[in-house]
Amino acid sequence: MSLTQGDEVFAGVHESALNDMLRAFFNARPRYRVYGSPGFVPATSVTATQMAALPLPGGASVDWAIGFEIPEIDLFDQSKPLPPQLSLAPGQFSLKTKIQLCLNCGSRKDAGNDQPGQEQGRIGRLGRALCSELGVFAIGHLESWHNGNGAGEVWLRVDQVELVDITPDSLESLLECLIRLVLDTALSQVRIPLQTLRAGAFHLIVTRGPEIADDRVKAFGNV
Amino acid sequence: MFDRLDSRILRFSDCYGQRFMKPGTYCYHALPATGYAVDIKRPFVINVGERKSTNVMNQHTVILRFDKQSFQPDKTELTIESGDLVIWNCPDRNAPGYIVQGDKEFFASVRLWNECGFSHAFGMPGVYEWKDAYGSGICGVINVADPPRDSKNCVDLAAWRESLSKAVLVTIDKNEAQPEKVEIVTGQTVYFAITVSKGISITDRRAFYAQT
Amino acid sequence: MSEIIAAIDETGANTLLADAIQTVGTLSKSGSGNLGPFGASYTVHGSFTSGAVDLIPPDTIRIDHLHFAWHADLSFSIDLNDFLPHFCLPQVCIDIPCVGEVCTPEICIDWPTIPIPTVSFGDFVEATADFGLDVALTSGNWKVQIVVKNVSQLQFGPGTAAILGIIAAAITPLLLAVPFIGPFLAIAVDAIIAAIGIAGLTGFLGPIISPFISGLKVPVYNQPKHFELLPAAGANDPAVFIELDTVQARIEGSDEDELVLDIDISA
Repeated sequence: MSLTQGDEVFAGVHESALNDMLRAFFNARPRYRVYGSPGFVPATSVTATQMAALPLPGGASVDWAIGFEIPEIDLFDQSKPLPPQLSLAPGQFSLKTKIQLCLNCGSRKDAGNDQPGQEQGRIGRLGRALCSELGVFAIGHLESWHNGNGAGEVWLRVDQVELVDITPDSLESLLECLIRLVLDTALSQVRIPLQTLRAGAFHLIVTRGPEIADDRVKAFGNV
Repeated sequence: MFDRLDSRILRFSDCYGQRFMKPGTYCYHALPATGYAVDIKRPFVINVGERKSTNVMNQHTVILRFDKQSFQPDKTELTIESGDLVIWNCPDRNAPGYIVQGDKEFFASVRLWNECGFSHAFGMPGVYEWKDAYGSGICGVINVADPPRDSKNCVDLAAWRESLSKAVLVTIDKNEAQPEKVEIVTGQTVYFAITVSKGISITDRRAFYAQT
Repeated sequence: MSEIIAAIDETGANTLLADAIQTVGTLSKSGSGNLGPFGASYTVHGSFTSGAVDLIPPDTIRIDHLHFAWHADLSFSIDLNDFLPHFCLPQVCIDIPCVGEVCTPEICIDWPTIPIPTVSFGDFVEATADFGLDVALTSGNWKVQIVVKNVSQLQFGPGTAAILGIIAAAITPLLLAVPFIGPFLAIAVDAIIAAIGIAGLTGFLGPIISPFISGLKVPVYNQPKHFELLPAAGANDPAVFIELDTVQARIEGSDEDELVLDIDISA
């Protein structure tokens, strides 16, 4: 069976190449895996993205930070182990990473002791950060766009996250939801052009794909 | 394109002829055109003695060779009888235009005086309106036509070659050229015989401003 | 197992190579050679149009009817003495009344060498060319080219035969400027053209045009080894690069023949 099958052009990117690309991306732009409010991230830079502090009742807010390691991707066919709660179906990828959640858990100053001009209700200066690290497995799918000029992009969408051994179950579900949302929105920003995904080889106007099969992201089309 | 018709500057298909009517020694030089103003040497000699022959004129031909930037006659010294004609020609197509310049005013190809001649074989067809560049008003026309061609556009070369032996004579006496109009084919020769004149040239109007 | 595989079938290869051959642009060459009996200087320029592509495993790309449209400017010299008979103006005698007969000497004509400054003409040649795959890392770029391995005999276009007529038309006015040549003109032109002949013309043009074809290199892939995955997008988003560690090319045959590029990368 030919690579191009019924089309003129074929491009196939193995999961190891995709992992290389993600590694290159997150090493060059770490801020896409490190987020925090001003107490943790004074300003957005190459290394971290500033987010707003978490609001609390009474106008207070709390600093927080979240970051994850460069994820390892396994494209269907499955070649990496997964927890039993997850199974990799055709067209899907699995993801493994570690996520760190941090909160600035300082004590709130009383109202009367506030110095003139000090922001009322601000929970102390950063100095009592509490962090926790969790191993994460996830399942997701590819999304993409392409046009008749051969332009297009591909990115990862996270559909399901599994944390191991968090109790009670409701807390596990809550955290899985939070982490899924964080990972999905973070990884959705990593958009790789179809042209560079295949290292600039040939010209491809997509007629089928990009799709995941045989450990590769595959695209078919015409010159 | 047209032939260069100008007796002031001789070329390979031109001849200059001069009769020497009086005994004496006549020195001359053959020079590139305008050379007479540069080189005053007259290294070659015509010795003219008394006429002893019974005819009116004998002809002597001097062939010039162009070598190492100078003209050399095949006879550097020539002895003739008074009334004889000397004809000069340099048949080298690559030689520059030249003059024959003697030490007497009458003896110069640049200006044709008395008892002299100039011939030109025409290499290209056309209408050649000639006149005297020195302003005497003497003029004429020579119509040169290509030889006739057959239906296959071929020239009868044998017939044409035969026609080349036939020249046309134009006689110039005082202020008149006879005939004024001449019809020839390419390759034929017109001989201008000057009996008496005030020193003229035979010059195509198109070459009128060529320097002597 | 290659990390990135890109493949193109014959249909796609036809389009790819048609576009790639166009990027080769106009090629030029100057020099000198023998045009029949004449030494001639020339400038030739031309451009290619691709033909029908056949991918032949493991590493041959055949292009049938590879078309090279060429234009030549020639200059050469003709020694007319090689073509015209020895010619002399005969002695001409004329009778001058009361003086006698005057005769001009026989004047033998040495025909000149005529420079033919520029004759311009053009046509095309076609050939079947087999190309091999050449992969090289040059000046930091991975380049995959197809390069000619061998070429069939050049087929000259029908216009080539008319070139002799163009040469004849170009030299005729120059010959007309030679005194006394008029009656010999047709003979001279016919003799010159016959001396060149079609064999002389193709024998002259063939060695000039062949190198254009045999030296043809068509780019198929050209990317920097330090490959930009994403351009910079602001002060906090620098460009993202990967390294193209190896690039290989092959022709793969299965139910279809395909040109395949195999690329390995690292972060």
